[in-house]
Amino acid sequence: MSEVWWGDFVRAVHLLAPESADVTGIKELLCLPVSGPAPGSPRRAGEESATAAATCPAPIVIPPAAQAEGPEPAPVPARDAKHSLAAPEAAPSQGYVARLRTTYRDLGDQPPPWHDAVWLQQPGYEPPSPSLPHEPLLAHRTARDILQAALSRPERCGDIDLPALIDRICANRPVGVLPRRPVPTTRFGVRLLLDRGEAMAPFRRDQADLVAAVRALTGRTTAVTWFFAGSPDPARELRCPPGTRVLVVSGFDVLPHTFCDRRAWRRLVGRWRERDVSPVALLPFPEDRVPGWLSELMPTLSWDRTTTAAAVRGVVGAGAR
Amino acid sequence: MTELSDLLADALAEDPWSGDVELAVALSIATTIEPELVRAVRLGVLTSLDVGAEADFWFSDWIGRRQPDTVLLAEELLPDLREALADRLRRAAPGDRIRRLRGVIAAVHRSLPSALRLEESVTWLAFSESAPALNRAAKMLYRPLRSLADGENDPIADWVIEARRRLPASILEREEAWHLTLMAKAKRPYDVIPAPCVEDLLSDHDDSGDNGTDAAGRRVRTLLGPVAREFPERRIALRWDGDDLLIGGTVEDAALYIETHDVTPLMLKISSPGLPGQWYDVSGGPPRRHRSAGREVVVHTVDGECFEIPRPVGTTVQASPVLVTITVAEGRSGSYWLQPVSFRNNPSPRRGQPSVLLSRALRAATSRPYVHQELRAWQQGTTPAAVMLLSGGDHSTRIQLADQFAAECEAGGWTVFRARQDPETAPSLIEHLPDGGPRGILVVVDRADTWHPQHLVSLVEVLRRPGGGPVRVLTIAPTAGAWWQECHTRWAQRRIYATRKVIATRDVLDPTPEMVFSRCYDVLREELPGPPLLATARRDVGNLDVAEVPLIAVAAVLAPAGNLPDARRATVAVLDHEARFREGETPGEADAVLSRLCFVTALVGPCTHQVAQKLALDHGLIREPAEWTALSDRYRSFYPGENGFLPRPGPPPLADALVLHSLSGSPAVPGEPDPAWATGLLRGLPAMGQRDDGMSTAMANALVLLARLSTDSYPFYLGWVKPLLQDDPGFACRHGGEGLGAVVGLAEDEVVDLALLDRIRAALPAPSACDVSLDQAILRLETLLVNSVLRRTGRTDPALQLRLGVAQHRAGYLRAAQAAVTQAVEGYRWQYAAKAAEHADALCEALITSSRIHGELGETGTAYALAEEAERRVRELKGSTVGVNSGTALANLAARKIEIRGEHGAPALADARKAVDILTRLVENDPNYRPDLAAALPVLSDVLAASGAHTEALAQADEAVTHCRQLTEVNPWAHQHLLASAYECRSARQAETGHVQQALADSHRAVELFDRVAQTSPGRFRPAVAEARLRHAELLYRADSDEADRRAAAEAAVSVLRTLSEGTSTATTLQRERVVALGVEW
Repeated sequence: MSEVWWGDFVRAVHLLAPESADVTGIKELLCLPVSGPAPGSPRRAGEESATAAATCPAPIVIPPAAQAEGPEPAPVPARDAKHSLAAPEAAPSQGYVARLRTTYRDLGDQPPPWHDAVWLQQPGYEPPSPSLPHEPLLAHRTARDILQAALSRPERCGDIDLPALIDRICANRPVGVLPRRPVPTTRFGVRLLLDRGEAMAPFRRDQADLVAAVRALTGRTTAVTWFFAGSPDPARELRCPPGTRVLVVSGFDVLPHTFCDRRAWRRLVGRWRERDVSPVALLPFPEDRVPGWLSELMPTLSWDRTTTAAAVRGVVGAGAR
Repeated sequence: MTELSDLLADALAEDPWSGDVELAVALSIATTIEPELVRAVRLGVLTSLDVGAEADFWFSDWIGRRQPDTVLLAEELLPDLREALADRLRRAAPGDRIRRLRGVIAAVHRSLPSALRLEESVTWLAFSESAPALNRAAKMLYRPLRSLADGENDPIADWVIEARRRLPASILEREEAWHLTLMAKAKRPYDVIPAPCVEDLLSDHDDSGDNGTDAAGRRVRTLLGPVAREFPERRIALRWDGDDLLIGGTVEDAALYIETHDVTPLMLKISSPGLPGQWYDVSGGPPRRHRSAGREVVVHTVDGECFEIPRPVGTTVQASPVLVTITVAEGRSGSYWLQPVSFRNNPSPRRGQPSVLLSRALRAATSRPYVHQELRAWQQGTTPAAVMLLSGGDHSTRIQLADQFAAECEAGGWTVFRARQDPETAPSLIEHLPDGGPRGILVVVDRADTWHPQHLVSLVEVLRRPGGGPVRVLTIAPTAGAWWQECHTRWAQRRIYATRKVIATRDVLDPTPEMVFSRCYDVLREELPGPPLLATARRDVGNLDVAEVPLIAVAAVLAPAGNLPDARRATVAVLDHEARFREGETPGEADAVLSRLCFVTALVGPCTHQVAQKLALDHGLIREPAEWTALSDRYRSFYPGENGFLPRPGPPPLADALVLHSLSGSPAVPGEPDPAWATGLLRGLPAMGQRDDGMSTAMANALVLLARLSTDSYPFYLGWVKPLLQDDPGFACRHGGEGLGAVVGLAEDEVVDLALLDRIRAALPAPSACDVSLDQAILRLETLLVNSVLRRTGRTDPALQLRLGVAQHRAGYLRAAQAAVTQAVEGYRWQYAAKAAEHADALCEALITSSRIHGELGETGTAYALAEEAERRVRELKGSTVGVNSGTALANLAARKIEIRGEHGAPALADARKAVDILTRLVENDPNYRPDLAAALPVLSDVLAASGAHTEALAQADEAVTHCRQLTEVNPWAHQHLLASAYECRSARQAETGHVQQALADSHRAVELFDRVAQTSPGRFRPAVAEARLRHAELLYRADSDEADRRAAAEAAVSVLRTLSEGTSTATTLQRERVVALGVEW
């Protein structure tokens, strides 16, 4: 606002002594801004500030005593050419709210208490996370024997069974085929049927280790691995050649919350038996928790450190009988 | 307890535990649980469990969250599980496998992310709840904190959020854990991240036996303080409501705000002298009310920032010298405000304090009835608005007279205000004009000469309202300079009556010693009743020096005796009483510290808290910054001062005497600091302070004080000031013109010998880096030195003439400079004729300086001729002379060519380019040429623009601005004018290319900068201010901006042009024509 304008305004008000309502009219006639802060409005005078002498810092008088009387617009002049250029009139200004600067500091500029701590991790460097060390369920030194016992079936293809041969000759019976001693063998094939259901989640790495161990035992291409979740796929029966040993790795329904289709298992195992396919169940539970229906259906092995090859042979042999 | 907890409790009650429970208990210290970990723990620790326990655990109810390969225990079960584990570990035999648990887990988890591994370690150490382990665990938390703070490793913040759910409660309540949590909150501002509870913070956790408030304060500080700076800043509103301070609420409704870090919870401490500090949570909600009971209030933030809240009502009309600055902040106009002043009901807890008595005696002694009479007549005049300038005398006399007059006006029903230029300290800013009060308004403007004339003019305009009461504006300044002429003219145009009263330093109407003593004694007896003065003493009064009477009167009142003491004994007596008054009821070490602080403030005051605090720390007054609040409160209870500053301890005679006696130690004053310590502090002053720093102002104060004391006492100069200046002559010139001026004043009084002054001159910064505020003092210094040599040798030396001319040129005295430099040029021409190679440099420098001065005086023809001669000689000697600054010569020639373009039409482009090229090469080897390059670039820009290459001209102007900005960052006061010139140049280029708005912005910046430098060196820069304003007004016309703005800008330009006087510079004919073109009467 220029002095001349407001000087004219003041003179006019002084001469005319108008009612307060007429003051606005006088302003309009003098082309002065008529909008002022509403009575009682807390809006700062700075919001009203307009441009003043552009070449020098325009003054803003901020009288402290409150007195809302008289026709004079309360905030006093302060227009700044720069403001009018840089900021639109409507933009709120906080020029009247002053920032108090720091008087002093009552704490020293000591470093934070963690300044000498060792860095936890260099920023930006994230080391690759190798897998955790894993201890298998079967001890390394016995695992091979146990698997051998579980996966093989007895076949009379070993050395000549001399006692049997002598008996036959003594009985004066013809010897068409030399009797041979039985030896365990996996030459009829091995199938792994792995349960990938939720119940076996804690044993995923054990399953992977098992697959690797079986392949190491039978040859990379001999063993075939099938997966299922919950209940077995009936189509698996057709793909087993006669004489195949199937190792079923599952928790079945040992855990209370798990479900398995017993009928499906019975049907599948029945078909297998018809085709001379012998299944063996490997469960991550102790023997005493194996359900009766399962032990009736097929030989079951506990998958744990306490399992021995002899025990496995016993179980599998009994099953074969 | 939850259902799950009940279930666990039942399971734990069984004996033995089932496998899943065994595993859950063992794994409760693991951060994450994988099948591998379960297996390792079962086989390595819980060997009795079978494989079924693994599945049982994996699918048990104790699991809270699970992923395909990982599970986490339910968080609500962790405390019970860990308690069970702790119990089991306690009961375990030495060889029990459970003792291997931590090792097994660590081995499995060694490839986990480091944060998770650290969490396991912390949990393992903390869950046992043994104190040493807990401490170790807490310290470990600083490792991720450091990574988070210094390494900006934000993913750690996410881990912190998760880890807080799992870590034991015993560690979470530790400060270290809160630091980490708050740091994470600063990085991830989520509400879910917990923050310390205000009640916990304020509860007394300290067992040290201190009082609870202090302990709580420490906890708030130590817990929130270190991390606060990581949070964004937030504005906290402050305003007074009577004696209460309201903190918080809407900033727009307040008058003041502080910016502090928005740590959660946002706590502020409010303290007042003598009262315990109180903490407030201002995170949100309605404003908090602090009852200050009329005392000073300081707001403390958790990270150590302290804000002294200004008092709403002043108690004096004086503007503290340290406050008077016109600050034109970026993007905001300068502003001023009115503060009510009241002399009624001033709290006077210092009744009987010797320094207060001396102030009153001085006021009574310096009262000038004739001045007072004139002020009364002026006040009672019939005009609605009138202005009076009170000048002459010394500052304290003027203030005492004004205070006295203002107090009388207030008593007579007038409302008194003081006008201030520091709105950032205004405690309450409201938008209504002041009521006239029952009788009228008196506004006192101290140091009015530092105000912008337009501010003063508008101040009266604003207050003069139709129908309102009379308005009187009393301005106070040492002299009536150009500013008064300008204001007077403008007030006259507005029919505002303005008059001036000069206080004579010595007046025939000065009272006799008896009259002064009587006045002082009467005033003092009102304050401190006692036995009447003996007749024998009254007989001695007539022999006293009038200036010494107040001090002697105070001594007489404090220690009545048969005879009056002499001035020396009186000073010692008053100092002694003052020290004893400070001692109060708590004698001991604190008083010695307070006395030392009094010495510090007497030496460098008035000074900011930061300065006094730094000196107090450096010289052993306080051991740590936190002790400053108590010490400064105690000091200010005796010596209240302006907001944010520590005043000197008592009126000037007493404070000066304190310094003198403390340093000399003779006669000994009980309670004053020992001389060795005081001398050590004084000797350490040169090592402190930089320009643009509160410390620098303090050092300037010290220099002025030391000069004053040296003038009074030559032994003091020899003993303390001379060694100081001899050891470090640069001390005199590092702290602005005021300090150097004081030292030069000593030389003018023949206290400082000229040899030492010559050493001080040698310590002055190079002209290109010289602070513009030194210009006037340097001129005085050079005049002294040159005159002394001339007197001694009796012949004119061109080198001396050139030195004098350059100093006069820098100080703005162009005519005198022209005469001196012309003599120098003549002298060098003779010498050059005899020994060309030896005097070529000096001749060229003289020619260039002379050319510049002629150019600035508008004598373009001569300037051009001199520039050409300089350039020619440089060219001739280029092969043989290495010291000649050919770039400067060429730049000067180019500038002169531009000036006389109308007369000769000579193309200057090649010269200007060559100048810039040479200077650019010189700058590569010697940065001292950067100012020359910064000055040459605008010249090249002007030449390019004149030749039509506007784009390249604008690029050169941009480069000039960039150079000047860099220079200004290094040394603002030496290069601000160069930056202003660069802005002006760029403004011209932008205007030529049609970018008027950008041109206006640059032009505005140029005006602001020139205004700033013109305040420190008006003679030199006012012509530049005038030209910059004129250009700005022209730009406003061209931009077709508001008529009022245009006219105001043009009037402002004219007002400055009109104040240019012969001897420095005057408005040129061309400038007058340009003003007329703007439609403004000259």
